[in-house]
Amino acid sequence: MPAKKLFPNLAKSEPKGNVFTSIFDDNLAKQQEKSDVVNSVMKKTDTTSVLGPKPKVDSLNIVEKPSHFGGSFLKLTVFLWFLLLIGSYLTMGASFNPIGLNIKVESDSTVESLKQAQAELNTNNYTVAYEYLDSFSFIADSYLNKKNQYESVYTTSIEKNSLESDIEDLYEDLALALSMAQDKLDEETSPVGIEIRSDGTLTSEYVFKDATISYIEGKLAESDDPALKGALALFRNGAFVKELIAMDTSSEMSDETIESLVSKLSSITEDNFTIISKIKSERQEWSDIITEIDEITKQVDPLYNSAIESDISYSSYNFDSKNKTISLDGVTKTDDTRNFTLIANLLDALEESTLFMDVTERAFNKSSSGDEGYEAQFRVEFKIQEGEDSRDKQVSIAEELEETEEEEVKVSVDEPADEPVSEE
Amino acid sequence: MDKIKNKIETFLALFLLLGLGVFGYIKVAAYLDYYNYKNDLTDSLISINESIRDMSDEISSATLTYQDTTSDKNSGLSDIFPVSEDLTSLTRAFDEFEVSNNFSNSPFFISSISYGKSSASDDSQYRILPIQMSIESSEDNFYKFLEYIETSGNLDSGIRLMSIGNVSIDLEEDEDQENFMSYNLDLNAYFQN
Repeated sequence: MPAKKLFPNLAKSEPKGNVFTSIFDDNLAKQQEKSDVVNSVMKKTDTTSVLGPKPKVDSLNIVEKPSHFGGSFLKLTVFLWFLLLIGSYLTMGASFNPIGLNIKVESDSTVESLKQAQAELNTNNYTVAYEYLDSFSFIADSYLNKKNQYESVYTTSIEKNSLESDIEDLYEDLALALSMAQDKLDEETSPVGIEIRSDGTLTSEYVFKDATISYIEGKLAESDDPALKGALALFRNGAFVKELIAMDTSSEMSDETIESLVSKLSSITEDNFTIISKIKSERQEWSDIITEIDEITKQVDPLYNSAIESDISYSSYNFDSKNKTISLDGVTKTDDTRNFTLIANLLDALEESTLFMDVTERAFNKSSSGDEGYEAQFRVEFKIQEGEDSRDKQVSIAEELEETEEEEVKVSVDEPADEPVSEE
Repeated sequence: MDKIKNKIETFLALFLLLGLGVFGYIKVAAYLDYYNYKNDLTDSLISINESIRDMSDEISSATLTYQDTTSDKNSGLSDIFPVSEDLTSLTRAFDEFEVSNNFSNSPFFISSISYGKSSASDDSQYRILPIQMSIESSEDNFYKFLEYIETSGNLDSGIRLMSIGNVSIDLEEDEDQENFMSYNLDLNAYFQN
């Protein structure tokens, strides 16, 4: 028989948890049954546990509720998606703007306002530019006329002195008018740094240009303002505007440049001055033609128009502007018999001129006039040259003669020639 | 079964939430982009409207100048490019040139002027009045008259717009009158159609 323990095992180990966590602890209950001290105590008080055996869940008939977290979460997410899509549509997708939140519609509206404002600004700039250019054109007319008078050989020195100061003043005025027009034309025609978001592939520059043209056309439908017409014509002629802007008014402009500008301005605006300018440009300046014929004749016959009787003399000129033809009647008088050579040289010289082409003379007649030498009548017919003529590129008579002289010198140095090459 | 469904729903919800985040980010970025764009447009609009206001004085000044110029041009236009043939003014102008250039040492004498029947130009933009003239003059005055015709049509000079159609010059020298030329000119004077 085992010896009875002096001190019974009052507590084998510290019970885990507390009374609340261990109220249904069966093991602890069994241990308590084994504890003599506790048993004795319990016998004196109560033989049963505080709560009794742990009730079985099944026996309570409690049904475990299924978790709905996933479903709720999904519903919330879908709801948020819905909100976002609605918000996105109302702020950027919709074509209406009920509460002023649609940023796209607001932007589009601002773009329209901006196009209208820029069109108005462009119209103002181009109208002012046209008005200055009109002034330029008017001053240029007077300037060019006075310049012509000044350069005319028929103007006296007193008249020239008076014209000189007028020309200087007029030039300053026209340069100022052109410079002011340039300032206006040089302004940006579309807002700086703004790139319009359009559905198509149109550039901002095109969008604002189109808006400006529509704006001016709308204004013209209301009133037939010539300045607005001019502004529209300028706006449609970008190349001419670029040419105008590129002009340097600080340096001296030639008369040809001024004339060309006036003519181009007149051609784009299409008024009575356009017609005048067109007639002027088509007008043949016969004095230049006669001067050229004189120069060419002098080249062939150095005595022409001099105090000494020349070999070539003309009896009549006939100029026809409609057909742009010229016919010259004349006679060559020589001591030797080289009348035909002289006429041939004249024909070549006329052909080589950049003013004439298709020079023809097919019949040559010569007669002897006794002691006075030989005489040959001629009638040369040719046209006023339009465009380029390959025959212009040939060496001129004068150069040809010089070259021949040089060759003669060389020939005489190298080996004596039997006959001279030159006709002279 | 419920647990699996729950898990699937949770997973799907998470996936949608992720998509929502990405989509929301894109949309917010796009909105902010448009917002800045609209602000730029508004700033530009304000600036342009200011420029328009600033131009008012310049427009008034340029318009006044333009009106003056137009008035001068229109009055000059009736001289150089009239609305009718205006033969009398043209005849007087030729006579005036003759008087001011006819001198004993350098004569200029118009022996005849014949006006033809006017016709419309090919493009019907203007009308042409043909003129035939017979003139005897010195060589200097011949060139001077050519210059007169060739520089006509300027507002400044007020000479009727003309051109030379045909020149026929007889250069046979008269022993008594050296450099004396007689010539026939076919001129065209222009007027509005």
